[in-house]
Amino acid sequence: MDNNARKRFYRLVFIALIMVSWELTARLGIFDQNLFPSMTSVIRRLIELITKESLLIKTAYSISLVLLSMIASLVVSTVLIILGRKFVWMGTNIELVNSVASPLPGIAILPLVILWLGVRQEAMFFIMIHATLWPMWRQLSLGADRLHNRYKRFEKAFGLSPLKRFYHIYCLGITDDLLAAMSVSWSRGWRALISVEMIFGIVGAQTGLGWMIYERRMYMDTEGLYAGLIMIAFCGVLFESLIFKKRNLRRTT
Amino acid sequence: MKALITATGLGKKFGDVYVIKDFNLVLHEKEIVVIMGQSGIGKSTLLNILGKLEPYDEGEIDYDESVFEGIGVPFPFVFQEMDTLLPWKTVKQNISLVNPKASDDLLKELIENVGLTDHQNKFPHELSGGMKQRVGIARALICASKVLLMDEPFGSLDKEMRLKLQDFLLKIQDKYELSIIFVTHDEEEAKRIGHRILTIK
Repeated sequence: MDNNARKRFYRLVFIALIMVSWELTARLGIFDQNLFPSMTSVIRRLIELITKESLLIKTAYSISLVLLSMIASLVVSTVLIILGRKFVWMGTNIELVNSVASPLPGIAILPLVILWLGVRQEAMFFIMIHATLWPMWRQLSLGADRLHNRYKRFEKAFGLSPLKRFYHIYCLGITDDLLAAMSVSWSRGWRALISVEMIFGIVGAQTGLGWMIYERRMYMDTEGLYAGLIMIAFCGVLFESLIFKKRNLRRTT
Repeated sequence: MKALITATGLGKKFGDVYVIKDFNLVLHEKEIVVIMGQSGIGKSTLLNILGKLEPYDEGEIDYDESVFEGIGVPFPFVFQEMDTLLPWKTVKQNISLVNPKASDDLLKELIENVGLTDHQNKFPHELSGGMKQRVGIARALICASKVLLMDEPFGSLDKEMRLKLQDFLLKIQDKYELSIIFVTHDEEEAKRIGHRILTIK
């Protein structure tokens, strides 16, 4: 068994152990059934939510909101990086804004955003962009700096045009950093979305996973609440560890 | 022989400190001039100045008009750092990127002349150090310039590979009638390839 296979095996054993202990704890009745339902009933409810109660549509809606805000953040980051490179004063100030805004959790600016934009989808989107933009900008900016330091003499010596530089060096060379940027941006965005959805609830035509788990609590549907949490964790891991997983796309010299 | 580059009384300061002072150089047609000196003495800065990558503070440089008559950049560089090749582009793409005006025939000929025909679709990480430097040379040659500026191009290679590439460079210089300014700190290398050697102290 190679190292990765062994790791996967240990993880599966650990998950199986947790599930069995959960089931046993629930069946022994140590906690109130309404607070701590059995694992089998949670899984049953999860299947029910998927097949009969549009859990997949809610999940897709939540994912699409994060991805949309990430695309917007990618565009804004690119513009900020280009402006920062073109004008030194701008680069310095973007850096300053990033250091102030980046540590602020999306939920912290929520009251202010509600005051300015109201409880609307625009406000939700604003918070999502705030959550995804700064980590995206930071990672891409580091990547662009690295590429600039490595190729600045080459660019100059061979007189590459700005467009050629942008595409052949920066767009093609930044793929690994882009993946890392997507990964960190996703995790910040996903967390922010779930919190924000619980507060914004039904501001649009569709509701997402955050609102769903909040709603399950109101109806005292604990199995559904746990099922929602499993789905949230699953999506988080799926995107962060598999889809945006760090891999060497930019062949190394 | 016609002088292509004439530098007179060249000086460059960083703050109040001179890194280059009163430097004179004449590069004639089909000539290899080696600039020799210890590391950190300002050889690369000098090459950057001659290649118009950096400004200078004193003196003057005259370029013969014929230097600018090529179809690409007038002063293509070959760098010591082999990682100036773009890792996400193949050998062929790395070479053609710097001069889109160059014909396919020229590209093919150059790849053949640097002995990389069988490797033209490989990526830099699939090549040896010597091969990468040959790509660097082909990338400079595709600019079809009369002048080549080489900044310790073989400095990071082992002795055997260095000797091979020195022979290769002499052949290429002869074939394309190039004028080369070659920077090195290796005396043996300077003597082997230089028609004239200028030592910076």
